[in-house]
Amino acid sequence: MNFSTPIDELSLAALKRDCRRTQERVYRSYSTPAWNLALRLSGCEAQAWDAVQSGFVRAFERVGQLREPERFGPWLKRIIVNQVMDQHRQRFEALPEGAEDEDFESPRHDQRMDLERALARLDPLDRTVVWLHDAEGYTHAEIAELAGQTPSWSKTRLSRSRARLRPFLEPGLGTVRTADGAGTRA
Amino acid sequence: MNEPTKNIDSERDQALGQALNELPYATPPPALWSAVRTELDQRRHARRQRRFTWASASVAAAAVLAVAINLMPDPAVTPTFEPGTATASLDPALVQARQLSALLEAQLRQNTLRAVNASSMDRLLYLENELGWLDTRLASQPNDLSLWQRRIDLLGEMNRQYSLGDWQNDVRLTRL
Repeated sequence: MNFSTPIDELSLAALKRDCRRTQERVYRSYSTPAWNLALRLSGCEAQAWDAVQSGFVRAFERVGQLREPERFGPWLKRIIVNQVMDQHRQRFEALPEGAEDEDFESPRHDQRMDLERALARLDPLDRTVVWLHDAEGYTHAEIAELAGQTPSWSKTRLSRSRARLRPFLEPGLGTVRTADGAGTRA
Repeated sequence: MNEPTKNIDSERDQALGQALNELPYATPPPALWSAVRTELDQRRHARRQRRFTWASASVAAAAVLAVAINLMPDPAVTPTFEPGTATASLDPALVQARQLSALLEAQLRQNTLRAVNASSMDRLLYLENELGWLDTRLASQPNDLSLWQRRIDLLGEMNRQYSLGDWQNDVRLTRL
């Protein structure tokens, strides 16, 4: 199941009645995509836990606002993304931009590239932007709105993240730069 | 950036998106639902507490209001001056007499609802005639303090006669 899978009218009505059994069933249906989304965006299990927990609680408490059952998944996804973005905001309010950047190791071409590890080591906002844009299909305008920033901020973050992740792609997908800047398939 | 480099970067970006989507799915921790349920329960409990507090506060406020309304002086009992009598630049004793007269008259309006015995009724009829005669004189001599004092005495006596008809007062008298 993913976020695009709808719930039925009866389930929505039961959710609006605050029915625990239905809440658990709906949670079981959406917990895997919700957990993976939160984990990818936050890069940390503890933060993903907080985001998913708060996200489901918020969704179940505000489900009265929802009229169309088929919108539940996308609506929940939006809530989870917002939860992670809130975490980022709280975390970075006291820190200057780039303060959490870690030194990125160059990939060792003699071993399998670990894209997941590379993703986890990105700056949280960079990771969020690249995941939302490249994996979830969000536009720069949507990301900017979520982050309370401008589309050019999102573009800059995406460019930086991609530059960091590219070397970690499978060797077959990468390119070797020639001295004049042109690229050829490795 | 020249065209071939741009195309290669675009291909690699697409490949990156695909690779991200192909990352293995993780399983959510089994205890996560318990945490969600616990928080939902706590918040439901807190909401009920708040609702109960609000309801209690509303009941308390309503009770206080009801008591306050009961304790408020009845508009009929509120001392008022007779119409057309200016209080400015009057003798303080005269003002006080008028206030007391108004107070006793308001009290008398309440007392007229009570039952009275036969002897009190006769006396009250006499006193009412007296009061009517006195009010006629006061209409022409509104600043006559002695007339106001006479009016106070009459009203006091009428109130006393009404209180004699009070069965509770009768009971109290039989105990003496």
